[in-house]
Amino acid sequence: MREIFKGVKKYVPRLVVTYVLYVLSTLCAVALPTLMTGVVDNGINAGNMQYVYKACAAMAAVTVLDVGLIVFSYKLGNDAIIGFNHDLRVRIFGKVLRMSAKEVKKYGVGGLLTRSLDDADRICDVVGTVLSMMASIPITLIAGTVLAFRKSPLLAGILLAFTPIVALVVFLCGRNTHKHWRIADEEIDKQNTLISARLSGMRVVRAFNQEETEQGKIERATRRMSKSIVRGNMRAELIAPISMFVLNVATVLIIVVGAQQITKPNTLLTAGGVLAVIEYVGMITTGILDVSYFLSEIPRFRTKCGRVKELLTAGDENEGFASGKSLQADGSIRFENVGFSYTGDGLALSGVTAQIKAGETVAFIGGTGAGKSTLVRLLCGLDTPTEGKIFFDEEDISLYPPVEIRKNISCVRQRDVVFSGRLRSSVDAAGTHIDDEVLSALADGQLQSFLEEKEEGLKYALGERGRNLSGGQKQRVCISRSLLKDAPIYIFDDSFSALDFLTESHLRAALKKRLSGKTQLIVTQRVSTARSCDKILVFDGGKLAAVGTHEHLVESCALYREIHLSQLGVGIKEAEVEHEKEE
Amino acid sequence: MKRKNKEKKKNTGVLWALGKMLRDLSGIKLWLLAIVFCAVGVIVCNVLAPSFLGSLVGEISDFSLAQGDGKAFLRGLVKPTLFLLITYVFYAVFSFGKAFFITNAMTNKITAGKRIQLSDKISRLPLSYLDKTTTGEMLSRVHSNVGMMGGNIHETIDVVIMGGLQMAVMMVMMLLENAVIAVMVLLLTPISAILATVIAKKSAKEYNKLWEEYDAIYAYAEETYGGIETVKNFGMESGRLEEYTKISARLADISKKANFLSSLVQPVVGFVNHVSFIAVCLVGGYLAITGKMDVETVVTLVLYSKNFSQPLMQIANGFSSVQLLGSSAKKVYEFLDEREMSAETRGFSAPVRGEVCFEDVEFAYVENKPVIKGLSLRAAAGEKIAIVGPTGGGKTTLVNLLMRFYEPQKGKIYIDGEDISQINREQLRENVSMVLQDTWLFEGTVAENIAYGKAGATREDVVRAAKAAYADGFISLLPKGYDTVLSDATALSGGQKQLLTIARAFLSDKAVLILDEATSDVDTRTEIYIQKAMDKLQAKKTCFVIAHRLSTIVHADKILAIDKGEIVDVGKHEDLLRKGGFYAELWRSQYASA
Repeated sequence: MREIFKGVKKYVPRLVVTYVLYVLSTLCAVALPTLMTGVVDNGINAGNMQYVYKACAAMAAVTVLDVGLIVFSYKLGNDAIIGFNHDLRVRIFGKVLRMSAKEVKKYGVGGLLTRSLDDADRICDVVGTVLSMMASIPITLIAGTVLAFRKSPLLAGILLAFTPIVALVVFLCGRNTHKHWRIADEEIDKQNTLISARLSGMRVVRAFNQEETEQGKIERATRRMSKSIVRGNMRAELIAPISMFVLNVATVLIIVVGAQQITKPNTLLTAGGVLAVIEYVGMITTGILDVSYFLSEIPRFRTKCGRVKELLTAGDENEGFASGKSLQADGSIRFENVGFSYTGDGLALSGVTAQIKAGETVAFIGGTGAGKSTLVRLLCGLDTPTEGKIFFDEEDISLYPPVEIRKNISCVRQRDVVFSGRLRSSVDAAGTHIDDEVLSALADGQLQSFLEEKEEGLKYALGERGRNLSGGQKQRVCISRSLLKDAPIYIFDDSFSALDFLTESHLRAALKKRLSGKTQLIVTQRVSTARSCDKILVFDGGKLAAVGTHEHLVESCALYREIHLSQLGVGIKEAEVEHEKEE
Repeated sequence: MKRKNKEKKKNTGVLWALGKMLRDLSGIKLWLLAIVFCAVGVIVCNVLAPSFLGSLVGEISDFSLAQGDGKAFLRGLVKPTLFLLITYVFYAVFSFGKAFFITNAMTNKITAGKRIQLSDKISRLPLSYLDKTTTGEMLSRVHSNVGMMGGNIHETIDVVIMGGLQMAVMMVMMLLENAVIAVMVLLLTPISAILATVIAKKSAKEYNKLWEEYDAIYAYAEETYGGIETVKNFGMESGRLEEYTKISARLADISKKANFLSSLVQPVVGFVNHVSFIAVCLVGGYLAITGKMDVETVVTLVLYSKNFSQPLMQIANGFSSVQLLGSSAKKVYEFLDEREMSAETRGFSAPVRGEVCFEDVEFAYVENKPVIKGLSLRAAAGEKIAIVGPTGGGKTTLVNLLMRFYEPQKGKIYIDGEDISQINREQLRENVSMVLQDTWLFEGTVAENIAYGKAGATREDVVRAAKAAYADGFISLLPKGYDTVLSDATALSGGQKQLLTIARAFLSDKAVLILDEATSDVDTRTEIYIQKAMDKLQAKKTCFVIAHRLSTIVHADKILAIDKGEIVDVGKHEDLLRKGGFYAELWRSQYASA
C-alpha cells in the first residue's frame, strides 16, 4: 500500500483544504434537519410564524454556503485525485521501463496494460470516493450521534446497540471475496493478451480460418471473468439491503420506545424530539451505509493494489551495482566460458570462450538454434550469463548495470520493433541528433530512395510496428536507427535477411565506410556475408565449434564447409548426400 | 488517429448509442422485467415507509398535545408499527433482488456480452480498417469502453428507473395530500432539469475527448511494452517516459474538466432542492398555523419534499454515471457499426486443382499510390512459381490479394477459373495455405501451434509434419517436447519459429501453397532439407515462393521478377540468366562473390 501512495505527499495540503471544506459542507447538511425540527416544533406546533420565517432564512443561508463549499471542494479534491492518478500512471510506466525485459515478458503486454491503466484508474476512483466519504462519514456519524444523545440518550443508545450487527454483516459478506476479484482481473489480462496476439497475427489467423478458435478463447476468458465478477458482486450487494434493514428495525424500535417514553409522566421528550432523533438516525444510517459500501469495496481494492504494488516493487534491472561507474569500452570483447540457460535446465549456450579485438568485423554463423542470438542477448544485457563472464575492454560487464552495457552496443535484432511516429523520431530513437545526421544514417541504411519517394520526407508517418513498410524497409529503418546510435560495438543479428542481395551489398559497402574502427558483429546465414569478415565464429548446438577466417575454416571445419557448399548453387547435391549420410 | 469518414454518418450521437443499447437489452426481457418489478417494489416501499412513519409521528405528536390515555395510545401504535416493519422487510428483499438481477444481467449481457461481441466484430472487419487502428485503440474499445459501460449501467438504471418512477409516485402522493404544496415542489423540478442539461452538453464534449486520449495512451503503452527490448537497446527509456508523461498529463487535464463539469450537477440540483424544501416549510408552516391544515399533514409533506429530494439527488449523483455510460456506449456502438467485409456464401463448385490467374490487377494501400499496377500472371495447377525482386516491390501484396486480405481496386483474380471475389473467404482460404516471413505463434503448446491449421490432427500427424519441417530435432530438446507451452518467455530463435510455422503449413494440406520468405531465418543447410521435403509435398500443389536467396528457387517452373509493382522478367532460371535482364543482374549480385 505504501508503495502505491508514495507520491501522495504533495497533494496533502490540497486534500487537507478539501477535507476542511467537506467538513464545513457536511456541517451545513447536519444543520438543515436541526433547523427543520425547529420549524416543526417551535414554529408550526407552537403557532409561531415569526420563528418559521427566521428558521427558513437560516436554512437559505446555510444552503447557499453549502453549494459554494461543495463546488470548491470538488474542484480541489477532483484535481488532486486526478493529479495523483497521473503520477501513479507515470510511476508505473517508468517502473516497467526499468524492469528487466525478462520480467516485462513474464507479465505480458496484456497484464501490464491492465495494471498500468485500468487498475491505476480504479485505485484512484476508490481513493477519491473514500476521501470524500472520509470527510462526511465521521461528521455525520459523530454529529448525528451527539445530537441524538442530546435529545434522548436512551433512543440514541438503541441505535448504537445495533451497529455491531451491521459490522458483522459487512464482515461476513466481504469475507473471501477477493479471490473472485483476482480471477476476474487475471481473465481481463488474458483477454488483452489474446486480443493483441490475435491482432498482431491477423493474417495467419485468417489464412488458417481460425477466427472462430481465437474468438472462442477470448469468449471463454470473458465468461470466466463475468462469472467471477458476479460472484464477487453478489456478496457485496448483500451488504446494503441487510444493513439497511437492521438500521430500519432500529428506527422502528426507537419510535416504539420513544412513544412509550412520551406516555410516561414528567418526560422531557417531545414529539419533535422523537422526530429529530429519527432524522438523526436517518443521517447515521446514511453514514453507516457509506462505511459499509466502502468496506465492501475493500476486497476488490486490495486485489488491484496488490497487482500494482507487485509492479512497483519489482526489481530494477539497473539497481544493485556499484554506483557511479560508467562503462566506456574500446570495443574489444572477451568471452570466458560463457553459458546460458533460459529455463534452468538445459543450456542454450555453453562453454563459449573467444576474443574479439577492438575494430574487428566478426561473423557469427551456424545453424538455426545454434545459440547465436542468445549470445547477442547477453551482449545487449537483456539476459545475464548463467555461467562464465563477458568482458568489454577487459571489464567484467556483470559488474555494470545493463544500461551501461547497452551504451557500448548498437544492435539490430532479428525482429526489431519499429515504433509508430515520424520517420525521423523512429530513427533518432534517443532524440539527440540533428537532421543532417539522421539523413546520413538513412542514406547509409539504404533508405535514400525510399525517403525521396515520400513527399513528407523525414516527417513520413510510420504506422504501429511499422506496418506500412515492407519487411525489407522495416529492416532498413532498424539498421539506420542503429547506425545513428554511437557505440564502440555494432551488432547486426540476421538483420539483412529481408534485404535483397543488391541492397545488402550496397549496405555492406556503406557500413564498411561508416563503421571503420568500430567492432562489428554480424550474425548471418550467408557465407557470402561472413567470408569478408576478419574472423568467423561458427556455432553449433549451443557451442562454439570453430573460429577462424573463411579460408581457414573451409579447410579445417567440416560444418562450415558444409554450410559453404550448401550456398553455392552447385553444392546442393553434395549437401543432400551429407544429409542422407546423417540419416 | 484521424479517421474522417467522408460518407455522411447520421448515427453517431450518444442518444443513438443508448437507443442501440436498449434494443440490445430487449434480448433479456425477463431479466429487465424482474429488475423493473423489484425497482417498483423498492419504490412502493420507499413511499409507504415515510407515510407510516409520518402517521406514527403524527400520533405521537397528537398525544403529546392532548395527553390522553397512554395505553390506548400505545395500542393504537401497534398496527402502523407492524406495517412499517413489514415494509422494511420488503424493502430489503426488493433492493437485494434488484441488485441481484442487475448485476447478473448486466455483467453477462454488457460487460461480458459486449466484450465478446466487439472481439467477434474484429473478425469481420477488413484488414484495411484494422491497419488504421492501433492495438491499443482496439484494447481500449474492448476493455475500457465496455468496462465503463458495465460499471456505470447499474447506477444509470437506478437513476432512470428508480429516480424517475420514485419521483412520479411521490408526486402523485403529494398531489393527493395537498395540491398547492405539490405544485410548488413540481415547479422547481424543471429548473434542476434545465440546469442539468446545460451542464451535460458541455461535459459530453469533454468525455468524447477523454476517450480519444485513452485510446492514445493505451496505444502508446502497448507499443512500448511490446517493444521493450528495442526500447532498452536504444536507451529510449527516458524519451518514452517523457512522451508518456505528456499523454498522461493531457488525459489528466481533460479528465479534470470532464469530471468537474459533471460533478457540478449534484450541488446545483441540491441547491434547487433545498430551496424547494424551504418553500414547503414556509407555506406548510403558514397553513398549519393559520389552521388551514393539520400538523400531521404538514409534517408528512415536509417529509415528502425531503424524500422527493432523494430521487432528485440520486439522479444528480448518478449523473456522471449516465454521462460515462452514454459516451462509452457511443464508442462501443460506433465500432460495432463499422462496415464489415462482404460475406459471400458461395464456395468453389469443384475440388480445387490450383490453377491461379491474376488478370490486370491493380492495388493501392493508400489512394493514388498503387503498389501493383496492371499485373497479370497465370500459374497452371501444380506449377511452382517463384517471385523475386527488391523489397517493397509488391511481392507480399500479391499474397495479400490472393488470400483476400485486401481486395484489388481493379482487375480480377481467378482460381480454377472462378473469380475469388465471389467466393466465400473461408472457402477460399480452405484451399490455400501460407507461411509468412513474420512468424506468428500463440500461447499454447508446440503441438497446438503446429495443428493450428487442422482441426482434429493426431499427435502422429503433428510429429510427421514437424519432422518434414526439420523442427522435430529442436522440439524434442524442449523441456516438455511437443507439450512445451510457448509464451513470450519461451526463447525460440527466429529460425526455429519459422520451422514451426512451416510444419503448420505442411500439416494443413491444401491445393495452393504460398511461402513468403518462409525460410529467411533458417540456416541454409536446414533450408535445403526443407526444400527437399517441400518438393515431395508440392508435387501436386501450385506453389508460390517468395525468396531472396535465389539458390532456393532455381528449380521453379516459372520465375517472376517484380519491381515497383510490375513484372519485369518472366521465365525459367536458365532462360532468364541467358537473357541477361533484371533477374540475371540479381543473380550476379548474389553469387558473383560466392
